[in-house]
Amino acid sequence: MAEFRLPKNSQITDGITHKASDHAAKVKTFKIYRWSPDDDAQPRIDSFEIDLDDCGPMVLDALIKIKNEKDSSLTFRRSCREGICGSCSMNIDGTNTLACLKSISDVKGDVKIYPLPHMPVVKDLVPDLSNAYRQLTSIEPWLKNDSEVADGGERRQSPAEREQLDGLWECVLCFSCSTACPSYWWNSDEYLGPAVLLQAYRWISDSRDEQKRERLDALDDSFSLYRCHTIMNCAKTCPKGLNPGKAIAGIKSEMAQR
Amino acid sequence: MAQISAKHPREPGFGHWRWQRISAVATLGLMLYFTYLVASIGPLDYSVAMAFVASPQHAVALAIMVIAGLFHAALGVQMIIEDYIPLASGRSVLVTIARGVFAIAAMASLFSVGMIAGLI
Repeated sequence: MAEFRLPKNSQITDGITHKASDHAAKVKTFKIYRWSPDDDAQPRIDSFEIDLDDCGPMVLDALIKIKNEKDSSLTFRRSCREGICGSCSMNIDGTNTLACLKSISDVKGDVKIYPLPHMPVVKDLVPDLSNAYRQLTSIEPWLKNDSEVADGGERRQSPAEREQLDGLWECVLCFSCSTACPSYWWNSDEYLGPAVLLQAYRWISDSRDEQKRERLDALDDSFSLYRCHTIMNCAKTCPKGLNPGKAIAGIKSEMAQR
Repeated sequence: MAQISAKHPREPGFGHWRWQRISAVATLGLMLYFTYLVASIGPLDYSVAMAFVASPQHAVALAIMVIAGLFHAALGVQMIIEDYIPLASGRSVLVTIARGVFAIAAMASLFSVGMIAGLI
């Protein structure tokens, strides 16, 4: 039976407003999605007024400040604070990105922060990425070869072969792209999504890997790869400036050429 | 290599993708061809249109266009169904029904062209 209403847990209510101090000069409001599995409460949007003169420049700085000074129960993932670990991916101002790379000054008006779309929420801004990680595991993202190395040393690449991996190796697996993809929203149990397909192409393109045929065989079904309809939200949202859509086109091209 | 789409019976994806593109190019080319032909014969009344379709060259091209166009439509509708209808909600049945509808439409179209061309 079709569902025409949002599920109960998707109906968001107004939450608590945490005011800035009276002498704060440069106040910015952060509206943050809150939900906890520990009570039966609906999700809510809490407002936090932050004095930007007393806060770092990035959205993650504000989140850390809120957690340290206003509400220690606010839950989010973060680690490196410089766009390398991919932990702090979330939906900020309507776009999936990394909180550590998103400048507060780039957001006009209130800063609205939600977890990555269309993923189960563990708590607040933490999505459950188990399915995405399972899909990543399924493409076996490691070097696979049976041959011995001639001199017993390293498996070498020419500079040109190494260049084939540019635009692929930089992915930090934040899953901003996959969770921005409508095809992935509708069929995330069967379609691998742009992040995992970009990783798949990273290994298909590696001159040292000897299992290209097997890798392509594993993707040749009607869902794993071909649910991509080149909507290109993935390339638009990627906080690292990568183009998963181009990588997917690369896999389709490899399929057509073999 | 691990089975990736574990829940879905594995249908080859490349064949569908390739035929969708081949049928798109064929349909587009033939539609442009017919647009040009129909535009170039001037005022089109019933007898002129019947004579146009009855010409063997046009009848064959029209038959190919109908097949390519409906084949392309069937592939496209299959993709839409697969996008939006979960497997548990009767996806496979709907795809089969859609294929059947397009097959009937193709047979009816070919029958009509054959009738006009005097082959049936």
